[in-house]
Amino acid sequence: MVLLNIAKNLEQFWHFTGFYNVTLSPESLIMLGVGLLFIYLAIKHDFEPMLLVPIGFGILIGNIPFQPGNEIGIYEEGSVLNILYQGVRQGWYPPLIFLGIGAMTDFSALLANPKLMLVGAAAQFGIFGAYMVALAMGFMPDQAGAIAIIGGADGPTAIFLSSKLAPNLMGAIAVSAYSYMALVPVIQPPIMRLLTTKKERLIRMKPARKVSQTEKIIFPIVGLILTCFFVPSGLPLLGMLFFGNLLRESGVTTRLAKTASNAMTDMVTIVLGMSVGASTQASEFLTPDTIKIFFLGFMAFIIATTSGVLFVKIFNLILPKHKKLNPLIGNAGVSAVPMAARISNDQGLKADPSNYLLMHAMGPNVAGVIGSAVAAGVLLGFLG
Amino acid sequence: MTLIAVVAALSAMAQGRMDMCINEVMVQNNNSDNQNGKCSAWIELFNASYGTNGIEKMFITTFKPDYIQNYFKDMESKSNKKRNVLLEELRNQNPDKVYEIPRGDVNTKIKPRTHVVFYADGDTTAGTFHLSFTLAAGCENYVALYDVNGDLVDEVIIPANLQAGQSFARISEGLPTDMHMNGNHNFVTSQWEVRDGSSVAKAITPGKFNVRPVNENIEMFKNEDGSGIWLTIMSMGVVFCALLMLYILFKLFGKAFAGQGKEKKEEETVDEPVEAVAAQEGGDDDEAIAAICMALYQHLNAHDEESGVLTFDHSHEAHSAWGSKGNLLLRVPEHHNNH
Repeated sequence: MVLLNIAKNLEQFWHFTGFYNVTLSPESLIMLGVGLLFIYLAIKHDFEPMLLVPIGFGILIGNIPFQPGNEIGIYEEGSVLNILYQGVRQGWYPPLIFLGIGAMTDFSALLANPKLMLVGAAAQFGIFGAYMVALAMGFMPDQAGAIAIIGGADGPTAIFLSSKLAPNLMGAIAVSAYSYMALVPVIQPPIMRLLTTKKERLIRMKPARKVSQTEKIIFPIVGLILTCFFVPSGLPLLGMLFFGNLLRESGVTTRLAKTASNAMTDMVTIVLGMSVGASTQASEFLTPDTIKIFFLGFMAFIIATTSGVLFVKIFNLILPKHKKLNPLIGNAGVSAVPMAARISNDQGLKADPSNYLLMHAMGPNVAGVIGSAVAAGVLLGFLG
Repeated sequence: MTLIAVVAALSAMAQGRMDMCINEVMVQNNNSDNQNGKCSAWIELFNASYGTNGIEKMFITTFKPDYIQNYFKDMESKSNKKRNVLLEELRNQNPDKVYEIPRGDVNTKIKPRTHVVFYADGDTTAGTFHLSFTLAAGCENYVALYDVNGDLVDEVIIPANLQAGQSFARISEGLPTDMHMNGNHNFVTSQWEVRDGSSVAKAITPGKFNVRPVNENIEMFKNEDGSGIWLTIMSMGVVFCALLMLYILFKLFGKAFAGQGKEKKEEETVDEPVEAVAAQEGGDDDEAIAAICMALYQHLNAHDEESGVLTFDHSHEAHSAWGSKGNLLLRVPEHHNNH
């Protein structure tokens, strides 16, 4: 009798284990493989480790098979993971990340040469180009908008918008966005070389002027009022971005700026990355739509890079000779800060080892952050 | 303190119960009971806001506004009592015409964009959502909703020709902006219709949306902009406009501050010889600039005591300090033993 009870308990325990439950959902093994791949890429190849390690580990957490009903899983109400996931689901984390980004970002490169804002605007065509492709592939307008925002090359913005427009696609969109951001050094250079001539790559840009502290303080205030009057739906992102920047530039809130840019951003990044990773469960993630989303994300990056570079080339036609821009900074209009700007610099140095484009590329790069947040606000306004 | 008081007052106004509205009314109910087995008239309220609204202490009455306004005027001339107190007194005098929603029932917290149904059965013992009055069949009925301060929130005049089994409903759920457009909620007949349940469009919907909520924007873009080209043009236009405005403004700011910058620069020339010399050179020779800077640095005796000899080492790397993490790190000076 005792043995029978022990056997019964053991059987019950067996049914509780992941080994038993994995037989019921073998596709979770594939997701575990994806998680391990992300961790490998992050640690071995240094691909956006700050993001891919939490996301990769989150995928492992989210795809360990278990018996539902014990408030364990991320989608089970009341579970710890579910509580953390609410920050993603309700769109709380992305604005907090934007606060940190604002507190970290020095907009002086942009303020020194404000016309670079237009390059940041042009690169947002990646978003809307991908939107049209997504519609052609059969997605609904709201889903297409959520997917297209991958072209903004901005993880928090992608998570924010997809949580509002297409929550069921959020996992795939977030992973796709971060994956392509990590792959920016692979995707962008061939397009940049293809679209520019040797002569254009050698263009030396005028050194930027020094920006006064007053301008830096005015920028977040005017920037907020102006952009949010245009796109109030972008308030959560733009509001926090400019608020963080004012903390940085005001000179009287250094402690707050430091906390926002370091400790707080780190904490939110950890929770955000892990939650997004854990939300990518096999049943939601391993679908044909995910493959389409990854394809569309790739397209969005290509279109964004192309439009940024081409815009600079066209812009040069109307600029006086001494004010011409090097088209290699056009790619930096996709936000991916500062990776895209570094690529501009690397490509510039390849063409001319003494032509440093980094500071110039930081202009469109930070303009891209504003541009993608505005674009997200526009999409939310139209499709929300 | 004044500022806090003003902000608090504004917040209270912002969260307002003014977003509650009367949404649908049935006078002769012959097809649904009110949970007590009775088929009574009902009044549906709708929280049109995007926040939870507590409706306790609000008033639902069949008194017409003229009567109530005259009552207020009359009583206010005699005493300093507030309108909500006057309404309470009116309720005590006419319990069959004024109902005050009681406090303490958690169900009176109405969630955003949801409905609540009150049964006009005259049986307040049945619960919070049973009104103290009834509606009369075959004649015109008037129902008004007053907020906790005694201000009119919404009103409806139900036509006398409303038949049994018919409801009088808003054509679609009111939006707060629509309702507050003119700062009042005056009854507009054209916003209401008689429903008889004969079709989906004419469905009687107590506690539910009168019109199935759809995202009109998505439907519109799906039907009229299948390729997405118009949304793309509009959106890119908005993005460009926003950033173009920023560009123009900061171009102007830049010019305005450039003048100040020049004046400062002249002053700074004395204080910062390193920058000034480098700027005057104006050349691209990085090594020359670095050498001049180092010479000036040592000349100004800003050097601390170190045991070794600092040397220049020509870098063959194609990285700048911006692009190379290694170049940003402090390097340990090399020690050269000369013996």
